[in-house]
Amino acid sequence: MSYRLRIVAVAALAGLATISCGIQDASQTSLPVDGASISTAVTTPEAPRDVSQDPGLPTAIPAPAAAPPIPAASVASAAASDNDDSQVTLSAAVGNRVDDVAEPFTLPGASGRTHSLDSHLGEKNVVLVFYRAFW
Amino acid sequence: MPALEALETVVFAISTDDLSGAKAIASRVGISFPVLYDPAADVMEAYGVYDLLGDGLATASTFVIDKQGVIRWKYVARSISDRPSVSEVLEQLSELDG
Repeated sequence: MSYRLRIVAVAALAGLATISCGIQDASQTSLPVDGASISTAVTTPEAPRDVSQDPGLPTAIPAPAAAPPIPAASVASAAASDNDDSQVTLSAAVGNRVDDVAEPFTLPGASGRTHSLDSHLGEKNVVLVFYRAFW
Repeated sequence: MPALEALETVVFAISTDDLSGAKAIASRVGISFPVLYDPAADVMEAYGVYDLLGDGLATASTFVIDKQGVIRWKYVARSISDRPSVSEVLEQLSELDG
């Protein structure tokens, strides 16, 4: 593995950890996990914005302190291309819009099993149907 | 569901119900795919479909995600009764590559 690939792989793993923590802690912190904010961080890695100086954002939102998150698909891409330098790509951002990489999740099911999006990647398409509630 | 198997697709239903609610709807409707519960609304918040209609619930919505994990189509209800048709979802799935 080339030196460049090692850097990409480490950055990708750090990004995946950041994404996972963001989802788990979303209800406990003010750090946004929506597509727009993550997308911004990914597309401008060399020049992270000083959020506290941006009048368009609430001052309560902390500026990102760590490396910007890298999409899960990019992690897979980097890992899969371990022996092929030509296939390393950093593409779509994680988010909830069409053409975004879908937010990973793990949730319990009524059957007692736990299900995650990641377990189907590469093998199946996934349809998520959010419904209001049972009554 | 044969059509979904042919399209190499799995379906997850998700709501803010707790375990008993998830079991109830799976039993009542006879759902053959996994019914997941997200009472803290973390996942639906991440997908931007929580409480859009001001009812404190998931807004009815459907996301088609391809094998690479990319969202290829989505439909978010604009009212309580708004839903995409099954045929529309199947059509979107059939247009996915591979």
